[in-house]
This record gives sequence, structure tokens and C-alpha cells, in this order.
Amino acid sequence: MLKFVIIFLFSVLISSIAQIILKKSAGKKYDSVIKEYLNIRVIGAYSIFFLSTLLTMYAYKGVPLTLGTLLEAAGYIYIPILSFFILKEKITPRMVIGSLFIICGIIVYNL
Amino acid sequence: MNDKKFSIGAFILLQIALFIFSFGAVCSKMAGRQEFLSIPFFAYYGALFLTLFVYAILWQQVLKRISLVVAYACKGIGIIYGILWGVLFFKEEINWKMIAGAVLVLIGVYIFVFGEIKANKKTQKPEENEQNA
Repeated sequence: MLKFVIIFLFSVLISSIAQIILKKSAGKKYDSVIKEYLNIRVIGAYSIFFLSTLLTMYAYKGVPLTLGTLLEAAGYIYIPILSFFILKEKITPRMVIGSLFIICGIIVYNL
Repeated sequence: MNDKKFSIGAFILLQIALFIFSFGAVCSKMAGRQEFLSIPFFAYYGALFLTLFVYAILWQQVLKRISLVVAYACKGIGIIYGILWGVLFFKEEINWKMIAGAVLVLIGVYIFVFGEIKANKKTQKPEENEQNA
């Protein structure tokens, strides 16, 4: 089962990376609204999302549904870390506490 | 990454995006209940794609205006919509764990959002003072 858990966590990680790419794209100025969507970053990010869904589907072969929803919460850890290092976004103690509440909520919800 | 100043409009847009996104799960579950490749199956599957398409468009606009960490944290609200639609559309039962979990998620989102408002007020005040001087 560990192999499937690792695949699942990797899937959440690449999905979080795709969010970072989307944010990078959103921070750029484009000539038109269409170009805001039809550019290499956005298309690349959604391709990664697609790959992530395929990996998640494969991982669910060995991961129970309840554990899957918990593993998805890893995004609340990946996103702040990636945002801090790549986007240079500020991570405040409030954000850490907020993330912990959300993760705890998801765990309690799936108990 | 510099985000634009906090605006209620951007948070309303985010909530609309998350509200629409929550219907994706309803469409997905409804599609799963239909006969495979039947007309209702395609109708619900099409509705699922439509919700995801609209959500993707709105999400990109949200990211232009709000920090990714805060916007992503707000996605936790999906749990509350999940409970609501489960009860309304599928007559699912809710238990205390679901309610406790949803309350914890809401507190977490509250901490994120109001932290953002506070931080924004702090950065706006010195600018206002500079303008008044």
C-alpha cells in the first residue's frame, strides 16, 4: 500500500506545482483575455492536472477512499511551502494555524 | 509576487468559483448513477465539464487578485458544500464528525481570510498617511 500512498502524494504534489504555474501566469500581463488562458503556462498547468488525475486514479487501486481524501489535504502543506520558495509569498503564523485547522477539519470529517 | 490590494469583489468571485466547483461533484455522482453512455449520463457528464470549465476561468481571475495560499485555503469550504448537496440532492445523513470537521475547516478559512484583511489594512494605513501628509 505504501507504493500507492507515495504515488498519491506525488500526484497531489504535481497538482500543487500546477497551481503555482497558474499563479505565475496570472501575475503576467497579456495583450488579450484569450491570451490569459491560451498560453503555455496555463495549458501546461492543466496538462499537469490531467496527469495528476490519472495518477490519483491509479493510486486509488491501493488506497482506500477515506485515506485518499486525507492525502489530498497534503495540498494545504505543499501550496504554502511552494508559494514561499517559488512565488516568494509571505507565510505568516496565522496561515500556518489556519492550515492546521483545515487539515484537522478534514481528518475529523473523515474519521 | 505582488497581489493587488485586498478587495471584497475578488473574495466574492472566489466564493462564486467554489460554489460552481462544488456542483461538479453533484454532476459526477449523478452521472455515476445513470446507465453508462445513456443520454442522462452524457447530460450530467457534460454538466460536469461545464462546471469545471467555468471554474477554471474564474479561478484564473481569482489568482490575479488573491494570494495563492489564501485562495487555496478557501477551497476547504468545499466540505460544507459537500455536506449541503449530500443532504439536499442525495438525502445523505450527516453525523457529528462531519459537522465538527466542517466547523474546524471554517475556523481555518476564517483565520486565513481575516488574517489577509488585517495584513492589508496594515499596509494600506501607512500609504493613506503618506497621501494625507
